[in-house]
Amino acid sequence: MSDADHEMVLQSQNGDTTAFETLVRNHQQMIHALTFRMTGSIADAEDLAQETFIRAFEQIGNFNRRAKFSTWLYSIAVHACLNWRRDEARRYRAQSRCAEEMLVEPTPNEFPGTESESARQAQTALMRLPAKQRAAIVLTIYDGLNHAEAAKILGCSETTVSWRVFAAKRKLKRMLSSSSESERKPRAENYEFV
Amino acid sequence: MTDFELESKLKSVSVPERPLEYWESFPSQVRVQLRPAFAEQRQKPFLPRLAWGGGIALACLFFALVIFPAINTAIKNSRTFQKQLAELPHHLRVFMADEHGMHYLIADQ
Repeated sequence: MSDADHEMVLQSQNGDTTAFETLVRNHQQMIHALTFRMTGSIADAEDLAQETFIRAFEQIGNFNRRAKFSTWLYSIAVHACLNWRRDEARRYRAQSRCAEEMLVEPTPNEFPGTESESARQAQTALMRLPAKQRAAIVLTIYDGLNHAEAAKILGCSETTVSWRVFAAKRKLKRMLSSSSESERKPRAENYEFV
Repeated sequence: MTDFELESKLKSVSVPERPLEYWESFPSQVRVQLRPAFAEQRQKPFLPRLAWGGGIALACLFFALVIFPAINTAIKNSRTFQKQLAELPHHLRVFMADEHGMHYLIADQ
């Protein structure tokens, strides 16, 4: 943890919301990127980023100052996203019949951060992964964490992370290889929630 | 597809850009929501602690007044039984327990 973060954490633990606002400013882009990659939606990513910081403030009294603040924050964000996926899965099940009937095709604006067709396909494939596998991919590939660091954030063993990364890569390769074929199928059939 | 190709493809997905105003206003938006959260946080801890403390105190009282005397009596009765058994090994004995404690009857062989 940087000295600046350390001081701000200390003040936040004493209830100083101005100090916590500085912490939010320092880490907001990192958390937004994570929540966007986990949800594929700007609106949900913003809500989850906000939820992450509110939870972090509520729990900051339990933060061990010797730990890295960004890792701790990451852990809160990942778990918020995983819970969001569960809620989303419940909503999905309720609406699945309707979605299947409508045979909704993905629109070009669905993932507004992507520029090319290839990137859009990659984002779609990422969203089709089970949430825990997606979290492993986001942490290890996008954020460049090693498996031990990712395991710490996800609250599981290093072996579990390695397995999730392996399984996720296998699925992504399969999906991206046959993406042109899968695009012809209704979108609702291709989602997988865990 | 190799791992390298897959990672390159995944990394081609960029996070959408947000306007500068968004980044400037986001921390204060969070801060506005922290005030009620912090007030709740300061009020909350007392009640659960009180409930846990009261519950543990009641459990200790129950153990001291009910369970411990019952265990103690059972141990005493067991010792008496062992003692009498050792003293009168060849007699027919009947042991009884009532509100006055342990009794035994001895019969000639």
